[in-house]
Formats: sequence, structure tokens, C-alpha cells
Amino acid sequence: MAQFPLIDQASLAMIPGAYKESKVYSQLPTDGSGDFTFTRATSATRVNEEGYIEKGYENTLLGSNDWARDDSSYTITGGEAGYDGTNDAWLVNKLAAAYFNKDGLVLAGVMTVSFFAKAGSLDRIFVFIGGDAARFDLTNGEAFSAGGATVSQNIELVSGTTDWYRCSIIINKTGTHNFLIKPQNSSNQDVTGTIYIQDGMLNQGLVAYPYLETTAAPVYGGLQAEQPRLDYKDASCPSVLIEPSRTNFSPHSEYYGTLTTYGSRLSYEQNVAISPENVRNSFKAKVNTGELSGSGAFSGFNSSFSKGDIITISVFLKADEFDEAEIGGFFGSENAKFNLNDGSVISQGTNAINAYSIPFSNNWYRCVVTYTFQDSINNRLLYSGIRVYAVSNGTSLLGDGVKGVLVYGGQIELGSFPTSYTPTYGSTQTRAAETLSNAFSAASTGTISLSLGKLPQPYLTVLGESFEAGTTKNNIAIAYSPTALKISLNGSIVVDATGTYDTSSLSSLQLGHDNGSDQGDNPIKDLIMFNAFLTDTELNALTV
Amino acid sequence: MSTIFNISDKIKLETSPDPFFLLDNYSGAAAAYSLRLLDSTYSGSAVRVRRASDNAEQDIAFANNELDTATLETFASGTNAFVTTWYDQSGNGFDITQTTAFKQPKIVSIGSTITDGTKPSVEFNNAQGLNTTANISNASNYYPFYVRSVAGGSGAYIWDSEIGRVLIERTNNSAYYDQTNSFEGSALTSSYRLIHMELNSTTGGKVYENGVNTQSGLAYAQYPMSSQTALGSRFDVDASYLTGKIQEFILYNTDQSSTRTGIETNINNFYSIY
Repeated sequence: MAQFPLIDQASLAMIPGAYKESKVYSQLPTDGSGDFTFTRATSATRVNEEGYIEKGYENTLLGSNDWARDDSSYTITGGEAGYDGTNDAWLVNKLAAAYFNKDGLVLAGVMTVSFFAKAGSLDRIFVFIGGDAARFDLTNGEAFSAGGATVSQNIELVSGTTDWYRCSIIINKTGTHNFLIKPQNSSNQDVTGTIYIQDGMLNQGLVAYPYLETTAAPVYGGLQAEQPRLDYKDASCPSVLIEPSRTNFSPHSEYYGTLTTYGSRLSYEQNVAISPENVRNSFKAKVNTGELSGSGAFSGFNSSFSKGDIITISVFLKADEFDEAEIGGFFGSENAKFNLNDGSVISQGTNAINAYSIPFSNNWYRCVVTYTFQDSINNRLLYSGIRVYAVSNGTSLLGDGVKGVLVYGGQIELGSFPTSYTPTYGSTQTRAAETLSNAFSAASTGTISLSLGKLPQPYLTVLGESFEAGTTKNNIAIAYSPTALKISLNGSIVVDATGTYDTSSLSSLQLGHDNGSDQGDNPIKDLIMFNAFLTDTELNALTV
Repeated sequence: MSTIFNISDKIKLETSPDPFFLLDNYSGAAAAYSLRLLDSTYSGSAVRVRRASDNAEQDIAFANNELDTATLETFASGTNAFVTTWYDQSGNGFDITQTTAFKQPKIVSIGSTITDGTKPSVEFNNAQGLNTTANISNASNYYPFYVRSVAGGSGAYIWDSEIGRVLIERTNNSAYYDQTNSFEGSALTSSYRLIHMELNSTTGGKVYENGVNTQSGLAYAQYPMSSQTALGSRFDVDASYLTGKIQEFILYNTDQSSTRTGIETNINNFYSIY
């Protein structure tokens, strides 16, 4: 944990830690006048303390554990011992060869339908939703596609039990479709008999998220709208994320859907490996047999872009059997190639402005390319995505339809830097701009100290004085008065100026934004204010 | 540019890809007019304005590196205010002025600062323009960067000089004019744009709109900018006036092809045009 010299003299100290919806608390002053109000109004993601991407999610299956049905083919009764130590499970007794309908599901893109189940006298469950079907074996924990266009299916033994499983079917549909279920025997026959069932869930995405109980309305979990984000992307000390509004123009950020439309020589397999989210929802992009490489675009059919637009594409990639991949526009030299063994950039096109990668847990890299859109095809479509090379440790090979790389979280933004990951499940998603503000009154002569991480832009300006930022860290202390300005950066005085400065009536403090605009990619790790123009020694002690 | 903190719009800590002040990093401009501070060593005002209510005039300086709109609007006192002088920040002293009241472009309308995008702007209309009789440049190649939007005007001129003659952007049909080659190129996009031209007699004329090269291979012959030179109209401010807005006009007469993208980035970071 960082040391904070002189903090006993501070008038305000905000070292991110305590927060709740719409609020980030300051340690000083203790009367609450230095607490910050936070706004966002849309969902978002962060990198949590363990280094994993954390999302918000929602169970939209109403009456999620109400399985009672007026159905002559079934008797379904509650009060049975469940997977979670409660008596909230249901005994499903099938009397005739028929489905029972849990509910009409309102589907909107890639969604996962899940429930907990245990074998009774029967040991398989067949699920049918809008033409897509899956079958689950409750004795040996196997899941099978059973027709339709099911994206994937999954079954997992519930931790701490020997016979309860969580069954998931992943589908990509819109509209309302019945959630039809029927128990079967081990030969897939529609015989009479029983199984146990509990806790259904319908959530967006390719995996079942932690169960949320619903009755008459959806219930939200994880990171929610209006909740501040303490992000652990680049250090063990969190920073407050204050980002501009951005839209992820990729309609499917985790599902390979658009890549099959705008690509060739690649095939895909969904949910094959643990993603940077620490759940099994990444897919594998496999180079087809006999091919040197293959490609697919995340960008979809959006044709609203213009030549000259600054585009940033970011994709989480991980080496599997192959370890080289490009991201960016397929035409117009808008891409860069990465070595996925270490995240290094192998080469970049002439219209790529910037290319780099950010390491994530478990050998994942968030590969980033910012480029100027050339509209080479003259139809305003980006054709921006991934190209996987059949290369392993520098040796060029040929694809075999099995080997490839792992992919997750494709994001395409208008802007010169990537913002935090915004998942999409069938349509573009926009994260609203964030603000963090309070009405703390600062003295007309004082000192402002901040700890910032590495900044994406190399210069800083305050009160008409510019100075070059540090390359890895930026601990800054700014002492000001109506006639003087002194700035310490990383232990040294870098600005010593005199002049006339309007420092009167300082009663509005905005952190990470300028009246709701101009948010950047600036990790703010703490803010401490003093009602005194500190000495050079004190300023340098704050920033060393 | 992005903001790390803002205290009461008085103390802001901001990041930028280059030194915040354009002329600190890209020096050598022949003339530079802007409603933001372009040079950290410039200590003068941005503009001098006349208010409509009593024709009183006042210099308007910068507040935290941008036009001091609070002072401007207080001075305008709910009425219109017009620019009588737009000060040159290049250090060369080529301030452009207009003493005739009805030819002065507007900067405050009914008490509110006129804007384009999110930033203050000078609005030209009905034979309004600002000019100087100083000799700005000998015969040269020119590299102007400017932020403007065009709402109308018949063959409006953004920048014009009498002796030479060199004219930058005739809004209805041409990119520029020189006395040898007459009008060259085609009309530029009229909406809010950062425009840059390379008027180079060796490599030919080029036009960039929002950082994208839209015209090239145009003919150009060098001429001076002298006698009368005007912004927002024909040199004599009597005809071919602009109906539109200008926020910044920076003219270099030295090659800026290697610094073009840096200058464009600096401008766009401030104005957020594209």
C-alpha cells in the first residue's frame, strides 16, 4: 500500500476504496463534504482485484424458481432438497410423453438459459427453445446439441454436491419463444418418471452468470449502472475509471457470428477456454485445412463510417497451437500483427497510428490498434477484425481445421484510444460518459497532489504551464496561489512560475472530466488537497 | 486532450499529445489568429470587441488559455458584440482590424458567445471581414491551417490578399487562387471542418479536410501577401464575403508537410472536430 506523507495536514483526501452506487467516498474531510458524486447511467465493465474483467448481468427469467405448472402431463411439486442446502428444489413427475413450458422467453441476441437439475428416476433432460435444442445427462455430466442452431451447451457439477448439475443452453435468437423441457431416460426415450429442478436463469452472454432469484421483475447483479469503477488494470492499487462515452460497434464481441459473415479460411468453436473474464466463453479461431491464414471481421454491417475516421480496435487474444495474429482493417494498411507469446508487435500498416498490447491474466493479451480509416472499398464498411496466421514460434505452417488461437472481447470504437471493454450480444452497445464531482471548497492558496499511472498522452498543462509527463508514473503536486505556481513531478520541481492566477471561489471539483466532457484514459489513483502552498521539500516528498 | 481535474473552471490539469500551445511546438507562423491561446509566451489579448448598445470597445483576453467568455459576455451586457481587432499571436504584429462598424464580424449574439462545435467562434455575414495593410509575406509557398464552417455567401473568400494575388478557399467553387493559375481545385465541404492546404510551387497544391487529403496535384505559383489582406472576405471587404464562422486561422510560409499531422492533431484535440 502506498505511503501518503503529510496526509495529517490535508484538507481533502480521496484514496479510492469505499464506494457505492453514485458515490465515491473521501477519507478527509470526515463530514462528508469531500465525497464525490458519480454518474454514468449505463452498464460497464472493470478489471477487478483478481485481474479479471467484471461485468454487470441480469436474470430476465421471471419467477425464476417457480416451476409449478397446470399441465395434465406433469405434476411438479416444490419443497425438495436443493443444491444449495435449501428445500427450494422441485420434483418434476412426467406422466406422459410431452414437454412442459416453463415460460415464454423474451430473447434478444446471444443469451444463456440455465437451470439446476438432478436425476430422479430419469437421468436426462431435453430442452427445446425456438427450434434450438440441447440434451443434458445428469448421471455423467455430459451436454449434447440436439438440433437447431444452438450456439453451445454446457453442464457443470455444482461444487459441494455429487449429483446436482447446472445445465446451460446458449442460443442466438430474438423474439419470444417457449422454454420447453422434458425428462428422458438414458436412451433418450420419452418415458414417464422424475427429475429434480431448481433456479432457472436467462441472461445475456455465452455463459450462465451467478444465479439471481426473480419474482415479478428482472434482478441485476455484478457491476451495475451508476456504480463507480475501481479498476485494477495496471497495478495492485486501484484507479477510478472516468471514461468518455463510447460505442462498441462490433455487434458480437464474444460470439463469432459476424466473423463468419465477413471472413474466410477460418472456422470457429465457441466456449472452448477460460476468457479474461475467468469464465468459459472465449472462442477458438481455427485456420482451415491447407490455408496459411484466415480472417474474420468484428465490424458487422454498420456503414456509418467515413474516410479519415480514427478507429481503435481491441481484441483479447491468446496463443494456442498458433501464436501470430493481426487485428485492424483488412484493407488500406490499417492493421498490426502481434506475437501472442509475449504480446509484442511484429509489424504495423502505414495507416496504423498506434499498436500495442496489454497483458491480462492467464497469458491473454488485449491487442490494440488505432488507425485512420481509408475506406478503400468505398462503401464505408470497416472490414475490421482478426487475421490468424498458421505460425508457431516463428515457423510458418498450414492450417488443419483444428489449430488456431483463442479470441474474446472484440471492440471497435471511434477514438484514438481504447476504453474499457463493453460487451455486445447482437447489437452495438454504448457506455455513457462518466463524471465524478463534488462541491468541496478549496483554498485560494493551496496544493493539489495526485497519483496517476502511465498517461496515454505525454504532456500536461495547468494554469498555462506545460510540462512533460513521466513515462511510467505521474505523481504530481501543484502548489498555487494568486501570484505563484510550483509543480513537482515524480520527486522534482518541474515548474516554478509567477504570474496572476484567478484562484478565488474554488468551490466545484470535477475529477476526470471538464463539465461532463473531455474524459480520457487517465488512471487516477488518489487525490489529496492542502490549504497551504507547500515547500519544495514537501512537494517533492509527496511525489517521489 | 483530456481533463484530469477541473476546479471551478479556473484550475484545470489536462493532458495533450504535444505541448498544449500549438506555437510552442510548431513555431514560425507568419500570422496566427485564434480564440484560444496558441503561444505560452503571448501575453496580449485575443480580440478587441465593440458592443452594440453604446459602441464602447474593450480588449478580451484569455482565461485559462481560452477566450474569456465571462468577461466578454459581461461586457456585451445582453446585447451583440463585434470584433474590431483579432490579434496576431505569431509575434509578427499582423493584427487584423475593421473600423467600419457594419463590416465587423459578430462574436456575441444577444448576450451569448457565438460558438461552433463547442468552442467560441467569430461569425461573418453580410460583407463583414477583418483586414490589414501590412505586408504579411513575400512570394512564398503557403501552409494555412484553419477551422471554419460555411453557411453561404456567393463565392466567399476565407483569406485574400491584394498584391500577388493569393486567395485561400473560394467557398462555392475553388480551393484557392493565384494570379498565374487562376482558380484551382474544387469547392471544399461546407460544414464544420479543419482545413489545411499545401500551396507548394514544386510539389503542387494539396487540400486536407479533417486530416484527409481530398485534393492534390493542383497548380500553384508563388505570390506575396501584401497591400491589403483580409480574413472572411475579399481583400477590400466590399464583396465576396463569407457567411460562416472562423475559430482559428494560422498561416505558415515555411514547409509544414512533416508537421502537418501534429498540427492537425493539436487543433482537433482542442476543437474536437472529427
